[in-house]
Amino acid sequence: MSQSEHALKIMGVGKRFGVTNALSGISMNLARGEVLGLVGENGAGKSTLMKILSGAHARDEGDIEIDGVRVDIRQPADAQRAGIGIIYQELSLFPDLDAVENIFIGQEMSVGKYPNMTVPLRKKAMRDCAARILNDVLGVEIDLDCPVGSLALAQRQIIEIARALNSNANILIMDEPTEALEKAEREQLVRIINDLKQAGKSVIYVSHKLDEVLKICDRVVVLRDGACVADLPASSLDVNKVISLMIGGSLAKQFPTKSSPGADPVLKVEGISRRGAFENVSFELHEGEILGVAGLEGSGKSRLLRALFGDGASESGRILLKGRSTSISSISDGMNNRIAFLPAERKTEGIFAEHSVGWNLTASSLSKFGGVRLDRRAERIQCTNYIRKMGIKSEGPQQSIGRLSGGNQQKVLLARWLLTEPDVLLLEEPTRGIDIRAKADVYQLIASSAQAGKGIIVVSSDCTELLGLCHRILVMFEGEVVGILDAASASEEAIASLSIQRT
Amino acid sequence: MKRSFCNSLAAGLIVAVVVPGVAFAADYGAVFPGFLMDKVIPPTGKEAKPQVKTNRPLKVGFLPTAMDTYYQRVLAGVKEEIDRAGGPSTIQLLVQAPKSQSATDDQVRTMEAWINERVDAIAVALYNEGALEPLIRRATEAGIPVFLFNSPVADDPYYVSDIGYDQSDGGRAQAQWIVDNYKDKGEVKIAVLEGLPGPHTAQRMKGFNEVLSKYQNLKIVAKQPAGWVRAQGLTVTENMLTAHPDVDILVALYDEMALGGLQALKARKLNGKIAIVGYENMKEANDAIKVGDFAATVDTGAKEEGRNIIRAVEQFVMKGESVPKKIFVAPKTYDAKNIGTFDPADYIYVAKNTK
Amino acid sequence: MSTQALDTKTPVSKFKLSGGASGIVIALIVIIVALGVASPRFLSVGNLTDITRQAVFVAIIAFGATLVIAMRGIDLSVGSTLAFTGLIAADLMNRGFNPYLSVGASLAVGTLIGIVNGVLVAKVKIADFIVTMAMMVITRGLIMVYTEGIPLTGLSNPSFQVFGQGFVGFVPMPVLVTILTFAAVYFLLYQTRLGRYTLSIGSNPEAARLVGIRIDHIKIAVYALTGFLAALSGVLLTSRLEAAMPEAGEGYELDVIAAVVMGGTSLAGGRASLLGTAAGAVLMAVVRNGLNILNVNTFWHQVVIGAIILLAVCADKFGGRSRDT
Repeated sequence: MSQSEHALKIMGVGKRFGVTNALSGISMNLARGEVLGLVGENGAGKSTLMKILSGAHARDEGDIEIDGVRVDIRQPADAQRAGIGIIYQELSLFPDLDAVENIFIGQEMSVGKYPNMTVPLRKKAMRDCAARILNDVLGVEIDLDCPVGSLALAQRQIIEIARALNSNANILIMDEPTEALEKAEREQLVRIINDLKQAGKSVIYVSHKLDEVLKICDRVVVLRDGACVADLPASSLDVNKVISLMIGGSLAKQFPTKSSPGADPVLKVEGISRRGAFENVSFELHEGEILGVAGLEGSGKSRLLRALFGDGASESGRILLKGRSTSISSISDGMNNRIAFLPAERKTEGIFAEHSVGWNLTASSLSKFGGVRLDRRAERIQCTNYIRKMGIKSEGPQQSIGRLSGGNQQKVLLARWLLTEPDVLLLEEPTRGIDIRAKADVYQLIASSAQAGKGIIVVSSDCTELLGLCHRILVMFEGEVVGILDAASASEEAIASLSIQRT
Repeated sequence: MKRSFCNSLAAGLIVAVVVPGVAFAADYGAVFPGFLMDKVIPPTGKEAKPQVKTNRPLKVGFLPTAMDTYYQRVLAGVKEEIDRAGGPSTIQLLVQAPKSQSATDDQVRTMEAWINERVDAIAVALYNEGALEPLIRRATEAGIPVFLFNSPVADDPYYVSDIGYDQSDGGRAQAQWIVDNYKDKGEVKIAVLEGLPGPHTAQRMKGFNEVLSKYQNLKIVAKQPAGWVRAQGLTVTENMLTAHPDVDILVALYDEMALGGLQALKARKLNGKIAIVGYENMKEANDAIKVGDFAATVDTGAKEEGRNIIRAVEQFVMKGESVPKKIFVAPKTYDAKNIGTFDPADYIYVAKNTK
Repeated sequence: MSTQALDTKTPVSKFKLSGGASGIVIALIVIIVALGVASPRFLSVGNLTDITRQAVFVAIIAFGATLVIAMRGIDLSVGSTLAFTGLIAADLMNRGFNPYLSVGASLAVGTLIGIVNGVLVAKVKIADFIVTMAMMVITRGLIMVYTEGIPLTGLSNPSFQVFGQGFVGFVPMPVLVTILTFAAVYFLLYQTRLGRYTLSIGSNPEAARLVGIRIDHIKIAVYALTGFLAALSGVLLTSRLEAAMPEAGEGYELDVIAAVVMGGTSLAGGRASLLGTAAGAVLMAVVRNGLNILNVNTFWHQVVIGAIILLAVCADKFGGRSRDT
């Protein structure tokens, strides 16, 4: 390693898509052993910058130096050679291969001097090497033999880090690494980042979780509209300051005021169970109430939510809707009973990417638009209404949904379900992967739906969100309800301790 | 070991060539009516030897390239001849057909099964020259004589006898009919529907061109493939007529394609005006001649081919007498003048007791 | 991501769901012009009538297959279904049944074959490729069992002949039937919930399930439609030839898929261009017609057809479609 001042130096990098400047004249440095936070709203240019560093996009102007040497990164192999490793938000592992195979993918150790595709692999050596990286460097125990698809998300992420380290990466770029992680797993990741820092690796940490960024990073770079608007030590910043830098003004308020729920229960659940998912769950949901559900991954919170919709329905117990006992055994049952469900995975479970905003918006309520022949005019009018009402930034119902930002896509999906005029709205991670302003909008929309008398259940792994948005929070552990907290008096710590252990 | 094998081969060759091929050639006419002596070629000596098998029923495998109108007619001849020879208690017929024309691998499987089962004789139709040679060799070495029918043959020394007709004679017969009827009629334009590229198309066209090329006024203006099938015969004829609306004669190397061509002519009210010369004398073609839609077709003696298969088996496997290497008959041309002489019973299997 | 910034710069696409068919249309026009130059007779009314009449058999089936493929499915059984149903119509008529009744029965059997395909795919959850391949082999086998390889002929009843050979004004009956079929399928695909749901399933099956679409019902309906259309094509072909051929429709499954894909419908599902499919089917007939008219050497035919398929797909990929995903 040469002894230049900076591990990475970016000088005046710019990128255009057509006539749009996605990035213009970005300059910044990254010291060895430094953790740099990179924040900005969606569309601010974070992804573009990361894609340039990882070789997915080629830059149009500017220079990049690594260890004082100018490098030309045009494709992913260039980035790897330059010692840049990237850990993506959407994991890029091969689910059917085991940890060792994943860590060594593309750089397998093989027998003999002249490696080619057909010589035998040195499986033992690779296994030892993988074990060393995981156990000694990262300090974790991971089953090396099972397909990574069956491992927990946090473990898969660690395998990605191991893969980057194995390819001699000195600069690690982490894109929303904690987005889908539970608290304990997040803490493990923070520890790993600190270890990497001690070992002289540099980290670029990209996240929407500003409190976390401030806690983990040494320095924070804020991007807005493709330009660098701040480059400050983390110690000099707080969350509100960062937000105002990001949006170029100040945000009035993240969470809306809670209105008080009505007296009548819209949904009453009595001892419902589903084998291997959840057991003996009972609760009441009132009109206008927002009920949060917290719990670790695998605690049964998502399975419970989906069961109420009719997807993987409960096998025993009683469900009462507005006081009437109802059987919900399929999605059709759920929909016929005016229940709506917004799934967590926007891309794989939510949007029809090839199609327009309007198409996506009316997908679950087409029967409202004409009998045999669809009344496309009525459909378009209704869509235009909702686009305005929900504040969806688009060119109209005909625009392809793939061109919208995550936040606006989420609003379309929310509109899709509001259009069905549901009594009960089931929301799974409603703000995952969307930016601050969109989050505030989504919270506002949820609150006003509650105000309109709907019962709402929100499953989320973000405790701040649950506390800020919900009236009560139901905590689950290993398929059972271990507590129902009043949001006004609860704390993140209280939720966490309930989620981890029964009290 | 090897030397003695060679010696016996040589001896067999001499006997085969000198004795049956020449000395008794004249007698074959009595066994195989209409048999063409000039088509006979000398045996190679590698064939199975004549044998007298006494087991009854004799198991004979019949393996065409596919089951269609033509092979059904061959099969009718086979069955009638078996009836004459004593019925199923004398010869038990095993019939297998591959799922499509080009499924040679299906034929391989059937041949292997029959060799393992030790059938007494195999009659097989080849799709290509030289196809199945290893299997024919295996059967021969296992003592099972192999007879070919309706096959293009090249360099296969192991089969006992090739039964059928000379494909190029078929083409010659078509061309000869055109010559006989059109040679004095000034310039005559001919369009040809070929089959799929392959030996059948090549040999028929060879005979056809051989005869036709001697006459300057008879011109082939279009020649296109129609895959042996009716649907393509229809579309390709339509398309050729667009390019050459002034065609006088439509020749098809198979009646199926000719019948498709007839549909195209009918749609343009040209049936009877453009002369259709078919090939095979299928029942429908025969009917079409009677009403004037077809001008002529060539009968290649399918039923006789079937009869000759069983006659050869009888001679070779039951009586232990040799048979000629080629048992060919002459194709016969039918048109409006002689169609009345054709016996419609030739299309079907006529069971013996109803005769 | 900078998509938001990009949006304002790109022109608004029309609220049109028919997908991009411009590539294939350009390819078709280029080839037609080229053939028109090469042979003056190519552009004659008679020849163009012939071409459309030749294209209909593949086109009708391809309309159904467009929905199947847009749903991320595949149907290999169409060629055999065509032959099987054609045979049923012919056989019933030969047994003295009324032609309309025979045709009705044939269409019913085609629909039934489609339903069986659909149930095996959607309910029993066997891979569509396997189900329809097995169906292709089984029906073809049954045809051989019944016909022993011999065509069924003698279908000279005029009220049956009219399906394949008749004219309405200047328009050949089979072409008219195809146009009506196109209109009906177009309506189904772009104007009804069935079409919307079909495309939704192809676009994102999991999302489709979670918006309450009964995926199994839609799949069965779409396979049934395709079976029905294969039977319709079978009736037209049988009437055109006045015979039911045991080998009819062999290889149609590939022609059909080629027509659909050339037309711009993605094998990955979610998008469908029915107009493109029609253009694809016509293109194949145009090319075969051109080869015959120009008297191209037999051995080159398959090479040319394969090359045209590739060219058409390339034209669609690079020429017409705007990328808005």
